[in-house]
Amino acid sequence: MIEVFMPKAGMDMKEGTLIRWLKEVGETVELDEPIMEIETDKITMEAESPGSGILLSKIVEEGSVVPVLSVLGYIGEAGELPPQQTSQVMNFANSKTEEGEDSARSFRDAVSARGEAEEGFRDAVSARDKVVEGFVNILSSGNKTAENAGTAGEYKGSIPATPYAKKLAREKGIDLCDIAGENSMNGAIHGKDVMATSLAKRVAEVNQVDLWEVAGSGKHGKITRADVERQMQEFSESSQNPFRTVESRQKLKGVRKVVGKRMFESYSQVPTVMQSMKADMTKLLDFRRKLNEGREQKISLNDLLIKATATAVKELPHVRTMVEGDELVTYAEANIGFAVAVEDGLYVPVIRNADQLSVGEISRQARELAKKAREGTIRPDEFSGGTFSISNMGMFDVYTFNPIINQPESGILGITGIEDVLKLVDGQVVVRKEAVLCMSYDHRVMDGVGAAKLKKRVKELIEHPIEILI
Amino acid sequence: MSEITYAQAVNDAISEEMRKDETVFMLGEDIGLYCGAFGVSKGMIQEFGEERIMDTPIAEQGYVGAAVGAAMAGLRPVVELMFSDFMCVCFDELVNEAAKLRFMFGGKVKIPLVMRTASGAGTGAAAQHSQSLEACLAHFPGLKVAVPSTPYDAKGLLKTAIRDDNPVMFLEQKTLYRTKGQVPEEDYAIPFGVADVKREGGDCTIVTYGRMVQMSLEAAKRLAQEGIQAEVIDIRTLVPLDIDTIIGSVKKTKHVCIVHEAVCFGGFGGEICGQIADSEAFYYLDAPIRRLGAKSTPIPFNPKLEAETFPTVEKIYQAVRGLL
Repeated sequence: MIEVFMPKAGMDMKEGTLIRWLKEVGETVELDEPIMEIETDKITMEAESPGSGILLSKIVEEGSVVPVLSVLGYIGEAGELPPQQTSQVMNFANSKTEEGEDSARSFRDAVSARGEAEEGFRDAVSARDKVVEGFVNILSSGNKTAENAGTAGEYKGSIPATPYAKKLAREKGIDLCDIAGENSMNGAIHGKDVMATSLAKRVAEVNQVDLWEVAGSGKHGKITRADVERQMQEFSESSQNPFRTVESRQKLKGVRKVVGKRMFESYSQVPTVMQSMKADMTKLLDFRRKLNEGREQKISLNDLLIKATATAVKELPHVRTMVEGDELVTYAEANIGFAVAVEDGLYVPVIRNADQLSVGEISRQARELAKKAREGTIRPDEFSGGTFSISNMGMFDVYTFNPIINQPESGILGITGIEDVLKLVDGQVVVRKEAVLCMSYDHRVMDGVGAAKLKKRVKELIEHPIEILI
Repeated sequence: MSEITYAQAVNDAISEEMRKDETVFMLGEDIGLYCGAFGVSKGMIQEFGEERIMDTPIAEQGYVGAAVGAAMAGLRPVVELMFSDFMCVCFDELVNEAAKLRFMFGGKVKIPLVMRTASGAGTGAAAQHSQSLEACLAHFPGLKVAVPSTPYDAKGLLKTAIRDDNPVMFLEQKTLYRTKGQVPEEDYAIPFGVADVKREGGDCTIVTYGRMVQMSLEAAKRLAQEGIQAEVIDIRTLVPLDIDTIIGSVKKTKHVCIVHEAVCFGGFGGEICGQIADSEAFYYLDAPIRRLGAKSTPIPFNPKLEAETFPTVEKIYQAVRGLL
């Protein structure tokens, strides 16, 4: 028997959302064939099957958030029976492989508490506060455990639940041991806890949706987040503005959704300050023209800007510094992210130790990463671990803009389009090429002077490009 | 339809029954020229004379006992007991005589007695003139108990009470005497044991009666502004009790809050609570049953302390919010 588990796609990944299964129970799957779609806090991707055989069971519902390496289902031979819940629970309990994985730890607490009596149940309830829907779903996915072998709806010991919750559970064949109550009163299980997932309840509460009016489509007829959202959408359609006609309506999903979430978090959580500085691009353009003479793979302006930024970032530790909890953490590397527009969003691939790479190597890596991003084949590892980012809008003739910081980095450097300007140099009017360096920085990490120091250094390198090669 | 006061509705009910049935008569303290402590019997002595609007000495034991005897002898006495607190003086007549005689004589006598009395607080009348004692009356088999909350109910229920061959304790609400409401001019009666759903809602059932009905409706209005739909049930008569309406509503809303002005401890809310818990509605309860009533204290004379003693619109609102 082969376990289908939540892959750990990247060092930072602690948990992932199972968006949907691509295979039905009973269907044949091949090794490395896409078996499900998952979402991390950075990306939506297809995950491949860890082996060949028949999908025997799905033990986690679509939409659930689970710790990495959690078992989601089983692949085996036809007729083989998937393991009992007890062993599944053990798998979850052992799924904590990375230190400091809060979610995995609280889940394990919840699982062990479950084996204990009433007091343990309360621990499980409080542990649940830290986690989301996934765990409740995981718990409710199995029906029996050794110490709870009665029929569904019969309870040994006392579980605080309202009579109505017990009635609903009995009717739906749900074991109350598998549900954590989250109402304000005594942590008891209420009707809504049986009817809806925790996430659905929260979404309904925030959006003032009456849960009793939502039809459930999940397991045991449970109301899921999607059910609540469908209800909201139907409502908004019925109360449409007569002066506006909906041309199309799409679910916020995939890259667009992840980008939106991350941008919103950055914009709303970080005290971001804008600061701009003009840079004379004449020599850099000239330098690039000379570099590219006879070169097959042309060096782009972007490649040179990555190199210049990396050099400056390496020289200035405060730029490589991030807020982590109540600490300021400075990282050693100048790992430079660069924004790449894709059809429905944005990726920021990272070039590691860019200060130590030749411009040619940077160019090669940047080209490959951008291609992968556009094709959607980029791996989470390839766009994480950055220590600073740039966003070059030069090719779009942008005159000025406020880039949003790619959290948790200290700032982001935007580069605008290049303009011909008339300048006075030694009393003579000359034509120069000019661009603006538009920087957004995290004021918790640095002040105006710190930000200016970085731009000043980048400007120097741009205006004396030969230094870039040193 | 015409808009009249609660006091006038009571007056109309008795007057209309007295015109139709000459065995109906009234007795009580200062009900003649003085028109009673709350002006209910205004104009009645002029219409019906001293024999049928009978002023009595300040001796509850005496005139309530006389009324029981008159009822046994075939008349239909309507007693006005000035303050419901004074029923304690004539408890033997009410509890040991009126409530029991029809049973003890094997049905050979009837006791068509109505004891009307002014009940409840809110007038600064202090500990001995402000109580709501319906729970102890409801406790005695043989007594029916009605507590009207509107002029319409006061008239319709009182007619039923006068026509009933059994003793009825009719607890009028002191603070409601001056409130007005639409009342039909034509004859009508409201049967006992039929609750009135004052407001429909799906989120929480508020079971109440008497003075608290209006306050519960106001609380429901506030709750509705937050999207909480409360169903307000006025039970109207405690005995007989329309438990079916309550059970049906609780099954629908899954939450219940019982509100009465009487002291919560040992109050009638406990009986409603118990009947819900005893019924199939139990399995639909999604929160503990909440009761609101007066604090366990003699009612203070100080108006601020008095107000603090009882449920208020705010307290009802908070109680329901706390349930959901």
